[in-house]
Amino acid sequence: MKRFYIIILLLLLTLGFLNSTQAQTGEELVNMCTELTEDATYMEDFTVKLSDAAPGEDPPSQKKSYMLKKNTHYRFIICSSRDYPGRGILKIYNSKKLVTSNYVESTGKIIPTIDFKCHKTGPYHFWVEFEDGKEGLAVVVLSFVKRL
Amino acid sequence: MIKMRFKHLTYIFILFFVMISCKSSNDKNSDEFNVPDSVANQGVLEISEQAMDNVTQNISSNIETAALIKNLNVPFSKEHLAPTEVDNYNTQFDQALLLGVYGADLGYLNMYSKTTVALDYLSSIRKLANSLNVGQFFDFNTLQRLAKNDENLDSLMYISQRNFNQMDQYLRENNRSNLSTLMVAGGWIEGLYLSGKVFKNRPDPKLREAIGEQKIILGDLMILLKNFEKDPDFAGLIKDFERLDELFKKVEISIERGEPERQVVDGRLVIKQREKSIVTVPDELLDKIINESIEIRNKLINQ
Repeated sequence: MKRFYIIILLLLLTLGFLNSTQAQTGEELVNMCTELTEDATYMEDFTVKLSDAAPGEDPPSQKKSYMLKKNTHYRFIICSSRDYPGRGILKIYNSKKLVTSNYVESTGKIIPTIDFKCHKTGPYHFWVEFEDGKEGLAVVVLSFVKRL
Repeated sequence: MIKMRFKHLTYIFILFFVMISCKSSNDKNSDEFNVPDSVANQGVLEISEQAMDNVTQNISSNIETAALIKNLNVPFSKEHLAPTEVDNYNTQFDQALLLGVYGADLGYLNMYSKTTVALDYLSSIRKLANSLNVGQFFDFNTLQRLAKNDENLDSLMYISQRNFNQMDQYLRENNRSNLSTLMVAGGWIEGLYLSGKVFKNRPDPKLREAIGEQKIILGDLMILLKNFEKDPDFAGLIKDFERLDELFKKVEISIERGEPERQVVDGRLVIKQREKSIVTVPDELLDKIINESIEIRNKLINQ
């Protein structure tokens, strides 16, 4: 009987351990994403977690704004958590105008890295949503590459 | 017998749930700390959320300016930096401003790989951060270790910048936006001061433009500061910054329209912006802006 309880206890401990090691946290995503910036200097990161869209509704999205400067080469990297079905899509706006998105509509491909050669100082708005409105967790890292 | 087994199973499940809840409680608490009542809720934004939506709060990065200065091959000058003596700064207002100033100085030091000098600044930053109850975000031991080893410069820049971002975010999310705004203001004026000081010795057109385009950033910064204008300390700071704002209003910024160029290179999406901002600052106006910024910055750090 004693052996039975020990087995159950060990099983539960193992399950708890697996649960704690497999879940990818926002912090881990930031570190992973920052490593991908290569020769660029980290500036800022933001984490986006969104639930899935209700049927017939637009995909939920989250915005972050940042002041970008002229004659500067920036790099954006978006990393999506493997624990959620959604793949992150980043859209960059300036003065309500879409500058770019990492989602290529014609192919359905999502490109995780955007190199942005900025020539206009001003506020830029970064919108993140998840493909097909699925639930997701993603981190966007903004880094500085060089002055142009 | 069945009753016994049920009892034991119950204990095991309780133990399991205690373990699970301990783990999740650790995760959750990494960003939650006790803040005295005297500190919390003093910095709630008064401006509506809708209006704030159009204001960029993340304006404090000085990495671009530090890189521009370094690209001009201007030698490093410690004289441009604020002194690291912090014991005379007793109010949270002064401490938060100075923390922003040091953040900009640290960016300048990191850009020039001056890690030994950076240690003094890191030490002062720690003291200020502790006084403001945000020291928990500042991983001083790791930074100190990295600063002693020049090979770890990338990590030093990453961790110091990230720690500043975390402090700023924490303050904003915990009704202490007043302190976050002061950090932004301190970092901004120090960046402008550094640019002005360098320009006086090396009048480069790119630096001229970088100073002139601060008009856009100051516009948002004034909105943030005016949230707290009822506070007498803020009112004084706003008055100083308004003098600069008046000068910056004379800077002309025009936009040349164009569509961005997109191409995929080595798996990256490369965007070249064709829309350009063109900044025009006459010599006399630039001189006034630089002198005013030097005066305000020196006043803030009591020099």
